[in-house]
Amino acid sequence: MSKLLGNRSFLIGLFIFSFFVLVALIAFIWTPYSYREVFENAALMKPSSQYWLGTDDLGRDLLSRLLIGAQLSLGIGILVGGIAIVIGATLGVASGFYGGKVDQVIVQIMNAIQAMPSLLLALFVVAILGGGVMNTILSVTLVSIPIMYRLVRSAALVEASKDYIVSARALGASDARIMISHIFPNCITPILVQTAVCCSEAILNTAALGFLGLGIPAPYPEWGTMLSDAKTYIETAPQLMTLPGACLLLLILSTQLMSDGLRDQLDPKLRGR
Amino acid sequence: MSFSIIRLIPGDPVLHLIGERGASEETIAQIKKNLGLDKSIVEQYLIFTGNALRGEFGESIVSKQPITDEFRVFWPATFELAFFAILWSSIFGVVLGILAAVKRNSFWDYGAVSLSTIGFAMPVFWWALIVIFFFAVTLGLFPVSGRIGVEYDIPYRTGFFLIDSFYAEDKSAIFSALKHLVLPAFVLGTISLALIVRVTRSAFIDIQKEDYIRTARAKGLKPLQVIFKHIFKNAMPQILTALGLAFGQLLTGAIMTETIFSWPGMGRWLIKSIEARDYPAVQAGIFYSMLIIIIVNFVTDEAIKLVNPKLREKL
Repeated sequence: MSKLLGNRSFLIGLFIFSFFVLVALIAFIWTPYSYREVFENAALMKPSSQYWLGTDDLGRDLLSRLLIGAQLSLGIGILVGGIAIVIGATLGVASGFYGGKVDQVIVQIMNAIQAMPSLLLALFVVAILGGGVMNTILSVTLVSIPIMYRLVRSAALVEASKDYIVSARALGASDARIMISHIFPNCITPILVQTAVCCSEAILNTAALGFLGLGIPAPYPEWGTMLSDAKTYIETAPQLMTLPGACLLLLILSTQLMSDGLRDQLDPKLRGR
Repeated sequence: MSFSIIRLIPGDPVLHLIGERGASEETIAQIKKNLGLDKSIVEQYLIFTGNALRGEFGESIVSKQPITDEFRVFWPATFELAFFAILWSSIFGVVLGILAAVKRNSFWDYGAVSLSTIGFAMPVFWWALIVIFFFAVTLGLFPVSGRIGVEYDIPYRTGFFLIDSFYAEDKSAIFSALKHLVLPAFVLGTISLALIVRVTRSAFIDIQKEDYIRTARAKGLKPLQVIFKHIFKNAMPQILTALGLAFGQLLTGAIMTETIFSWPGMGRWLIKSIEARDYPAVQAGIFYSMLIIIIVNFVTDEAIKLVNPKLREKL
């Protein structure tokens, strides 16, 4: 762990990520205004002491919307990362451990999901099931599971063939016990790396769906949706476009830096790539 | 060979899944009968597959045009855009990647690494808006939407506006089409740039360490000769794989870029169809994108075999 904190890209990533977590937590207690409160005579205001970052086209406070947007993006990112651990890593460990037919079937399913670029598949899932919060989360989760599965499976394959697994079995440990207390802990680094990857994919895909008008519906201030609304006012109020995008970029960048740092620690050979 | 077959198979189940689910939603639609939606899902699915294999997708519910005709108009637009995007990003990406690897830990190296790190995290749609803001709104250099100025009416020949206007011998039309192409192609290419830079750089760094490179250097070959004859040739498979991956990204990137730049291509057509709940069109769109991905995977595999005979037997 102390080594990890010495890794520059992990540290920078962690710093930015913690900042967003802090901001999202603060937004639970305090925002300047409600994110859906419309100030009728204050549409497209410039930043001022009353509205710190100005207002959007309907007269809603931009800062408040950005703060709640941080909650949404982070929430979805962490949620999807969590589900990917539960489903993707479990499947990965199981198929690496059992091998054979189970493995083959799961691999084929995952290949099928991964045959398409993730955003395209998420887009099609939303197109078929319809938009909304739940369907958006469902679609971005679906595309993130294979990302987790692949790496965990290959790590589990390596672990499952090691001697200590044989000795554990000789001592009478059950399959479940071997998987949970032996293989899973030994695969924890790839799992952590992929959680960060899944998280950033989920945030990016959610925003992209939002931008196309197919993701999280109004009035929720999802950053992608905010960007899509802002594109009409690119000349008159550029801050509506620059700020949500910058937040998005920084958040995604932070998760990727963290996963890069983790990967460096996992495999020193890859350092400096 | 078996590898490319495995790459080909996964396309099918996905199509099955989506084709079927798409059909089940359709049953809700009011216009069931005249669209043949009163039949069972399995029947519908079989009909769809049969038609798809013959290249028939029926009529778009919205425009009442045969989808194949619509597609014929839209795909050259996307192809034109994607071609120029991949062209500039692969040239710049490879050059920058080589520079970074050869001059390791220099300004170029750090520049290339930070560029690709930021490029990976950059949401395309935001990047597009930034580019529009700077080059179109602030500097007023390039137009923001469409493929060609409204004043030009180029006779349709191939659907590729550059070729069409070349045939029409209208110099200002070529210029207008090019001008419209610059920003979208720039934005679209930046997505793949990050990936290509990163892969080229790491492939070069690996190969530079090999013994045969040291031998080549010891023989007294000029550095440029070593770079192009020895390292580049051996890095080709990895770069080509990256290009194949980049093409997948390009496909999703095209949806974004076309929507933002009002580029009348497949991506925008797909989004419009989804918004309009135009199921036959969406199904066809899914089918076409799967087809493109399969073709790209196949071409990439073949190209890799072509440049590296050693891998021929493995695949």
